[in-house]
Amino acid sequence: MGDIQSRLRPGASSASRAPSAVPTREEIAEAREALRVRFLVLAPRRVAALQEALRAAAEDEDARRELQRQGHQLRGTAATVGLLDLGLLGGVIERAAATAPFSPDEQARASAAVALADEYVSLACSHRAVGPIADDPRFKALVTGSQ
Amino acid sequence: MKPCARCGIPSSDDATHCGLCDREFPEMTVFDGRYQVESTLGRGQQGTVYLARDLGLNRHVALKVLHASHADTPEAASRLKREATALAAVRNDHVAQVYSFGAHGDTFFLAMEYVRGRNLDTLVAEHTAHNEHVPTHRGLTILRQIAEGLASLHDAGIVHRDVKPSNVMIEQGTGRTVLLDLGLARWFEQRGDTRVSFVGTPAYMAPEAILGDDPSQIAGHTDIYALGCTAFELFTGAPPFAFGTIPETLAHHMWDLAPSLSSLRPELAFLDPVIARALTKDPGARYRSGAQMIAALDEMCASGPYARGPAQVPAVPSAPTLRLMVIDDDEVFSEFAAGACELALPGIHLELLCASSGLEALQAAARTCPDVVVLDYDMPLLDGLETLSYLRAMPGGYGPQVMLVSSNMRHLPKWRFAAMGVTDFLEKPVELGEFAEVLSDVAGRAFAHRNRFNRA
Repeated sequence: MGDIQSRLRPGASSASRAPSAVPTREEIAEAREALRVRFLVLAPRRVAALQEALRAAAEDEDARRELQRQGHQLRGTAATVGLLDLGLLGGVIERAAATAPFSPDEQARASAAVALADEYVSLACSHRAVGPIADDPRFKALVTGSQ
Repeated sequence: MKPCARCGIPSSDDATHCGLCDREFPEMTVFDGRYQVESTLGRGQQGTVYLARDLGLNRHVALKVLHASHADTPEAASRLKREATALAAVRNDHVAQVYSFGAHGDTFFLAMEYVRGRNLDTLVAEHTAHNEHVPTHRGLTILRQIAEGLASLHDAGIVHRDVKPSNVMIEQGTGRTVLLDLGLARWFEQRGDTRVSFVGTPAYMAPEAILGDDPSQIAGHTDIYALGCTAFELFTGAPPFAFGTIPETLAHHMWDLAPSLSSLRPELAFLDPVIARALTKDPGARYRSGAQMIAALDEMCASGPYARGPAQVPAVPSAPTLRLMVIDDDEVFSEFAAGACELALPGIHLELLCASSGLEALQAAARTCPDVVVLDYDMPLLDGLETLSYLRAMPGGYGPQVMLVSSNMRHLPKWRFAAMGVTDFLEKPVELGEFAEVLSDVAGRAFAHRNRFNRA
C-alpha cells in the first residue's frame, strides 16, 4: 500500500513498466484501493463540512448551494473510488438541496442522508470497509424516494 | 474516392478508369511517391482536397490537387510554383502550414497541414440552433487568432481572399483556431481564369473585390473586410449582409452601411468601432492588416473583462515530462486523476498542478502552461466552461489538450465545449482503468502537439 501511495504523490514516476505498456488489472485494482483509502481518510472532514452546510442551509441561500455542491462532489467522487452507495447518498443530498426555497421536507431528506453518510463513514473508518448500505431500510427509503 | 492524375476528378476506389477523361488509374494513387490518398475531403473550383498519408513521416496531410487546366502553360506552372513557395514560407500557428508543392501527371498538388476539428460556421450554427451566441470571451479569442494568422500572411505579402467561417477550423483537442484554404487565389485571378468568375464568397466580399477592376486595390484590407463580416457572424449568428440573391448581397456590400453589432447585441457596443472600421467601404479607411486590427481589439478590451492576459511564452520542457493540470474542487478526485496518469504513463515524469478552482488554475497556467488539463465542469465561481474560455485566450492557451469530467453529463452543453476543441468527455463515476486509457490517448496527442510547435 505504501508503494501505491508513494506513486500517487505529485511528481512521482514509476519506472517499473515501459512507457507504452498497458497497466495490468492488478495495478489498476491496487491503485483504486489506494484511492479508496485516501477517500476514507478524508471522509470525516467531508461529512463535517456537509453537516455545517446543512445547519446553515435553512436560513442561508449560499449555504444551501454549498450543501448542493458538496452533495454533488460526494456523488461523483465516492462512486469513482468504488463507494457506490455513498455516492448515491451524495445524490440524495444534491437533489434535496437543489431548489430554493429549501423546504422542510427536503431539509429532512438531506438531514437523513447526511446522518446516514456520517454513520457509514464512521464505520468504514474504524473497520476500513463500508458495511452493506444497500440493505439498510433507511438507505432504501432515501434513495428510492428521491429519484 | 481517388483522384485522376490527369484531370483531378475523383472516382470511386474500385474504378479502373477516370469517369471524365478515361485515363487509367494506377494500382494506388500516390503523389510524388510520398502522399497516399485515403479519402476525399472536399471539392471546389480550383480542385479537389484529399486526406492523404505522408508515407515518409507517417502523418496525415490535406492534399489539394489542382485541375490540370489551371497550369497548362510553362509560364502558368512557374507562377503557380512561386505562389506555393510564398505560402510555404508562412509559419504561424493560426495558418495551415503548406508542406510541399509538386507535379503529378498533368496536375499540380499542394500538401498542407491537416487540421482535424470543426469549422467555425458549424460551431456558430450550433449555438444559433440553441438560441445562443458564441460566448463573447471565446469569440474574441477566435477573432484574435484569425487576425493573427492573417497578420502573418499579410507580412509575407499574401492576401487570403476568401476569409469566412467555413475556412476557419477549430482544432479538435486544443481549440486552436486555424485559417484554412490558403488558396492560390491571386494566381487564379492573375491568369484570368474564366471558370473562376470572381474570387471570394458573396457574403464576405469587400467592395473592391466585387468590382475586381483594379488588382492593385486588393490587399490586406480586403481580408480585413471579410474578417469584419466573419466577426459579425461570430457574434450575431449571421453575416451583416446575407439576404436574397447573390446580386442583392453584393449590392449591399457595395452601397449599404453595415448594421452595427450593438443593434443586435447591445452589450457588445464596445466592439462597434472595431467592426465598423473593418466594414468600411473605403479600403483606405480600414485596418491595413490583421496586426492593426488585433491592436485595436486589445485597446477596446483593455480595461474590461475581456482584456488579454499578459504576454507569456510557455516554457517547453524537454520530453518526456508531462504537465498535467487537474482542475477540480474535490481534492480526492484530483488525486484520482494523478493516480490514473501514473498508471497510464509510467516512465513519464509527471508535473502535477492541482487547482481547486478556475481562478487558481488560471493563475497557475499563467506561470506554467500545462500540456493536459483534466477539467471538472461543476465548480463554484468560474465553472469549467468559463475557466476553459479564459485558458484558451491566454498566450499558448490553445496548446493544452483538455478532457472534461462531469457527473452531470446529461445536462452538459457539449456543443459549447466543441467551440474550444474539447472532444474527450468522461462521466463520473469513472473507472480508473477507463480514465487511464483516455488520459493515455490525450497525453499522446499532447506530446504530438508539443513536437509540432517545438519546430525551429
